Amino acid sequence: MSLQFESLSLKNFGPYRKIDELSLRTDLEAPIVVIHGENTLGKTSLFRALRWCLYGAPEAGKTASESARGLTNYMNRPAQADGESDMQVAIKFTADGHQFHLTRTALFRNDAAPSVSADLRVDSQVIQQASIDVEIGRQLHPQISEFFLFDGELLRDFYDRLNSDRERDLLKRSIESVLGIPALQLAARDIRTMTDDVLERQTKAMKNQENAEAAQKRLRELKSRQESLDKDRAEIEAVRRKAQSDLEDVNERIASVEELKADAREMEMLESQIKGGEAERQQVAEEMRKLLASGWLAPASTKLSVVLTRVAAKNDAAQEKQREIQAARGRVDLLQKQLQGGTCPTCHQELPPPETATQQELTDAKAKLQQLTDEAGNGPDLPRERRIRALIDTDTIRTYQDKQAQFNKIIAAQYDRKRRLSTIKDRLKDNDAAKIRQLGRDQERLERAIVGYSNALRGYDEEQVKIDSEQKRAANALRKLSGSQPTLAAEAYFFQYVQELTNRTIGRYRERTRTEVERTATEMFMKLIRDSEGYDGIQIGSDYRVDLVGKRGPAMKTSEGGRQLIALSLIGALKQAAVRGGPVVLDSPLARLDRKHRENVLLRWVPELGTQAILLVQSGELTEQQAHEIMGSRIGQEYRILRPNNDPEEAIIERTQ
Amino acid sequence: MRNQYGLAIESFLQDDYEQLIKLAWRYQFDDDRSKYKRELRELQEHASERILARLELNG
Repeated sequence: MSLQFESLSLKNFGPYRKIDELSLRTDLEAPIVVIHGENTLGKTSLFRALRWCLYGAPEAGKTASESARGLTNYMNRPAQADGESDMQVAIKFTADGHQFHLTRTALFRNDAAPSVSADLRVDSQVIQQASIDVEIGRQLHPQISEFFLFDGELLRDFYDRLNSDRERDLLKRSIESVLGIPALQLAARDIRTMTDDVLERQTKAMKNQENAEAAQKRLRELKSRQESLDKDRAEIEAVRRKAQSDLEDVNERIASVEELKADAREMEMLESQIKGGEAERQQVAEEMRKLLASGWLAPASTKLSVVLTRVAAKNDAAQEKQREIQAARGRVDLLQKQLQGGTCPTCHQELPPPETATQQELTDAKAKLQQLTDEAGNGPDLPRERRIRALIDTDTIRTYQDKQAQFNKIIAAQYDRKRRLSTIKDRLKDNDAAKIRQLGRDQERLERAIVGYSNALRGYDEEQVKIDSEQKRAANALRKLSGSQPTLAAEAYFFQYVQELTNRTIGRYRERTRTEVERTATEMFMKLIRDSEGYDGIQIGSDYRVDLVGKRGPAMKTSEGGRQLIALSLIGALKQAAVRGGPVVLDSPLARLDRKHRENVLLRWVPELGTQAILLVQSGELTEQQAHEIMGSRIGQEYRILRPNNDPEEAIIERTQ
Repeated sequence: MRNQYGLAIESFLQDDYEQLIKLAWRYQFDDDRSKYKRELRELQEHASERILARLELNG
């Protein structure tokens, strides 16, 4: 969507003290804003306020810094007299679906150049100061504005300027800006820079080619050295492996010799043990023989034990009888003493006097004593019992058995020792000392050889490190010198091709737009001119020189009005071919035209300008009545500028309807 | 163009051309050209890859 003004606000700009939101809204049905104002009232001030707000320069063709000091001329003098020191213009506009609000303020202090600030908000978002000009340029570039914010004075000179050598380049640039050609030209400039850069790098790379070839040669040499090294190393490694294998064999054999030595030591120990074992065996056998000699009765101990049991039992019974006899004898003695009177021998108490029964009891006691004495016989035979007991021998058998066990153990140990001794003797019989000494020499020789081979291989390792390092260095050099060359070549190819393409595009685009502008301008001119008979059209050269073509060819002479129509036709055509749409603001565009041509412009030209055309006119070129008659409902907004106090330094603006 | 630039020209696609014009258009009002150059460089890198791939195929 193209740029469209919404409103304009002024404070202390030119003759205007204050204009609040002068609506400039239009639509497709009513795209025209007409502002009427007689000469010197302030039309151009409005126009310049618009320019100043957008670009910081009230007049076309000047920069903001060039205009800074001259801004004082625009400060409203009555306001200044009242002590005010600020001048401000604000524009609201829409573009690309966004709402823009641009405010530019100048603060005047003393005689110095004013301090100017700008504030731009897009959809309420504040744009950084440094980006404001770029953003405004993006929407309506100052060069493009030369054709669409159009000063009548400029229009008058436009034809001459187009055809003068002095300003043609400037206008050409502006026209090309309108057509969007600088976009491609800028791109072409950057592409040229980038092409130069890549070609420079490529040239450098080519210079490095020689170095690259040297590095490649070096790499080949290193590769050959590496192959030779690998071969030598493989040979040494094979020899070392063989020596290692031999050494392992010798070591194994030496280990077995060590085992034999251990066997010999064990053999000596076994022989000593066997000798000691034999002595021990003989000693135990002697002890056993002695036991057999001294303990001959031991086997009879079982039978003697039976006899002893029988004799002991008999002695026990005899002793019992003796105890009964003793008791019976005691009874007899007691009874006899009772009969005799006196004291008890036991308790020494006076015995009771004898009774008749006591005599009888004594008689019975004596009879029993006699009976017991008769039955007792000879009494116990304790000496016999002692003799038998002495004959029974239980220790000898146990001791003999212990000795027997000890003997058996010695025999078994001796057997084991002898068996081991026999095995060791078998092992030792094939190895003599000479062989063992030879093995020791072989071991030493092989170990020395292996150390030699390992040292040689370490030497190769050092050589390998050198080769690796040199290879790395050469490869790095090569990569830097030539590794990226295909990439560089592709890059150079791209930029050269794109540069060619862009230049061709610019040429084609320029020619296409020129043809289009020429055709549209001719169509417009034919619509604007009262009588098109006799005109073939407008010719636009490749340098945008404009020529009127008649029946007799180009360079057709025309009046000042005719030239203005040519300028308007060109502006209309540019507007249609412009890369960005936007409003057209024309300050006194009709001044040199008669009524018929004014009508043609208003009826046939203005509608071609799009959705917004702002006309600042004086009654000499268009009265309010004529405006209504010619444009009628196509007028969206209409204002008139007034001088309220008949003071040339004051102006107000009011809506006409 | 084909005679001048050879077979590799086929690596440059219509999309690349459109992108080239779009970039020129997008940054036409930027005084600082670094963004334009950066994006053009990206386009170049993609195109270069295709050019190299094509050269390898043809080689």
